[in-house]
Amino acid sequence: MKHLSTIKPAEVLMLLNKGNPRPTEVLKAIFFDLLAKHVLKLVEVETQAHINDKVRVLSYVEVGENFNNYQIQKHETYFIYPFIIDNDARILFRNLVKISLERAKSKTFLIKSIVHNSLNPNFYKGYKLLGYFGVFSISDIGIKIKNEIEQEIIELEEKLPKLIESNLNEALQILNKIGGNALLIKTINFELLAQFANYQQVNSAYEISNSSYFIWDGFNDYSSSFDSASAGFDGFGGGDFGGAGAEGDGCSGCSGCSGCGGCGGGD
Amino acid sequence: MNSTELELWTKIKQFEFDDPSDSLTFSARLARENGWDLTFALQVILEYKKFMFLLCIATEPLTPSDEVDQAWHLHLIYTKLYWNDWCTKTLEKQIHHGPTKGGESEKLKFENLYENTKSFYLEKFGSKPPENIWPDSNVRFKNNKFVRVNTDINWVIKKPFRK
Repeated sequence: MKHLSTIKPAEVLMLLNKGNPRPTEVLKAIFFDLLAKHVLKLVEVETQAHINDKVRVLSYVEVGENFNNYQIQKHETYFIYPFIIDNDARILFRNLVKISLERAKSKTFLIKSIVHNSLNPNFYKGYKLLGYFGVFSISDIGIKIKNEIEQEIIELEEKLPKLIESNLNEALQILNKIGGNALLIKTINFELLAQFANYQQVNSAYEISNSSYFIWDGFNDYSSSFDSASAGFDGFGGGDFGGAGAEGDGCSGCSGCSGCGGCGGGD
Repeated sequence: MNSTELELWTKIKQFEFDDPSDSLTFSARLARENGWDLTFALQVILEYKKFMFLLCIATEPLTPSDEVDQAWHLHLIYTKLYWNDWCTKTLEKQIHHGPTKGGESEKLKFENLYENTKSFYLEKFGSKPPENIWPDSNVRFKNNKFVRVNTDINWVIKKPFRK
């Protein structure tokens, strides 16, 4: 776990994919890493415009307890930027994913920002000369670390499912240490993890030593929502179309509505 | 803010314009139609909420910045959301939008109202309105020759030396 607990997920994915990772996978790993490190937090809020209306549960992102002490890397600002402008901001989860895609701009831009601002520049070669054009490759050191990370992943894929059943606290501690790199451990059943953790909490069989499981509770849902909100970014973008509809008594869809052409007043 | 105002502001602040299940949300549409990024559109929506709060408690008419006005215009075309969920259920007040009637006297009137709005904002929120959304009135009422352009068939090129 030496590397998975010290190298951030964006760079781990860079190494594992030989400098050519899927951008949405990278962004998702960055986001969950920021959650795991309590830089950001997810909150679910029930909203109801009026007592007779249906209650909606909306997922928002806010700053976490470590936000002010965390040393932010360039590629992490894609998620953090709105909170730098306004510390009290509460952004819909889906909107924050969209903002991150907007700020990441493109695959080339995202990868360049990871390489150029790396805390481990010896993982890459060639970028100082041709990095502006996005040209670089993984160095021999990077390849060595990549092989070691692959070994760590194999070990955790073997160890973690058993630990979740036998020693939940230890499993959670490992997850806490590896943060967003947990996404790389394909054998973790996050639903089962949340169920066990909830069961232990309710039955007080033993105290959960930290709150990290809350990050992974509902992980599958958030992971799918992330994928749906970021659909199209890896390849080409889809498009939304405009239009207008009408319902109710006497109201119409717009087909040349008249009115305000300048500054508006209100009273 | 007194306790009644604070209660109203909390209610307004918590109002959500976006339905995450929509493929094109309110904020995304606002961003797209104005050529803004989503972060800026969300900031504008927050400022629109503040402006609406001020309108609810003001005894005099107020005037928004152009950016806030764009959020208002867009909101008005979501008629159900605007009249039912926003005005009736949240603000508990019918807020109407009144465009300028044109002419010098109207220009002067709106310039004064705009300055009053910014002062009222400072008084109620304890900080000046952000300049990127609430510029000086000479900027607010100067650069506003907007037209609707189909960018599928037209290029839009910025004039040099104009801010």
